Amino acid sequence: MKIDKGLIGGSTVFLLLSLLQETDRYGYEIIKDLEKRSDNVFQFKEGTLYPVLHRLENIGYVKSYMAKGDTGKERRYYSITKKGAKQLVEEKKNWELFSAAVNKVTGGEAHAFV
Amino acid sequence: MPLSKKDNFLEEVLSYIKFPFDRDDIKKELENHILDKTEFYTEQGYDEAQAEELSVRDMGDAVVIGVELNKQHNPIIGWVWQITNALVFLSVICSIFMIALPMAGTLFSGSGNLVDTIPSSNIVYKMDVNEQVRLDDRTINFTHLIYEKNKNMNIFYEHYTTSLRGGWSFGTIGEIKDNLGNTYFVGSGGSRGGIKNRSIRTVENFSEEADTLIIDYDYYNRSYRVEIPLPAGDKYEQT
Repeated sequence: MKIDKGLIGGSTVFLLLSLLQETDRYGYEIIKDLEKRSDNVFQFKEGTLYPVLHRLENIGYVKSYMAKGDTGKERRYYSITKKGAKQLVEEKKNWELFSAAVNKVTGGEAHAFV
Repeated sequence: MPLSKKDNFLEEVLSYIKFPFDRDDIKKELENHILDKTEFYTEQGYDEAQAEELSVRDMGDAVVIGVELNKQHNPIIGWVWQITNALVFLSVICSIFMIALPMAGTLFSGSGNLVDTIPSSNIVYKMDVNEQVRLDDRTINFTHLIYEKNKNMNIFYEHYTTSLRGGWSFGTIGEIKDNLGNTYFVGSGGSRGGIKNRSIRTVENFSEEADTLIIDYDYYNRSYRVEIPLPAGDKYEQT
């Protein structure tokens, strides 16, 4: 089963900030890691990642810089800011509330997905 | 030669970006993504043309991406940012000219910038003076006199203090008199400099017959008297 961006739309920021919390990444890496870790459940229209990243940068959750990675090619890397880290805590709380509520409605375990 | 699928896609996205200064960065970022993905597909065994086509397909709709990116690259904010940067740059340049250069001039050069402020066509005579007086920890060095056709007598001097307290501002240099018994009102003045200040005092309507300029300071129990012989007197006697 594949879920398009519409379904996970509300949690995009949560997912992106979580990935960037671990390490700085460039766009293509982010897409790869999202697909890999979700066992290909999350598949994006890849270009639509960039408006989201640029929005997060405008808000101040991430900042970007140019650097050469392992491949020796110059890429725009994104790194989480302090403001972004605070937002990540909020996003996590919201997600827990949301998933708990879904589980209560459907009779599942409250903490099953957390 | 027709544009490749990749270039077509990039052109279309960029056509929605209204702020020109961000276009290059956006293009590079998206292009790198497509190239990475193309490499991935060629490693899977696709030929280059197929790999590029698949990569561009995976990007999604160029119109949606262009419109959404344009929202994040607001031309108004972009222009304000550009203009602010330009202004900061200009003000740094101005600061260098207005602070650093006069300071360097004061510290390293002997002749005063202030002397050059008087047009040479107005000058009756200009003379170098080397009269130094000390008042406590401050030193005043009278350097030049310039007498103008409109009878303005300009007195140039440097002053500095040997203590680090500073404190002495653009104060009086004393009463300006001549050997004929006239006392003059000290008119406009100006000052430039950093550690060593350069100043100018202008006395209006100075007698062209006087052959000595006298600067008489007597305040707060401190006093000095400087007498500077003037060429004007000689000229008057000769005629």
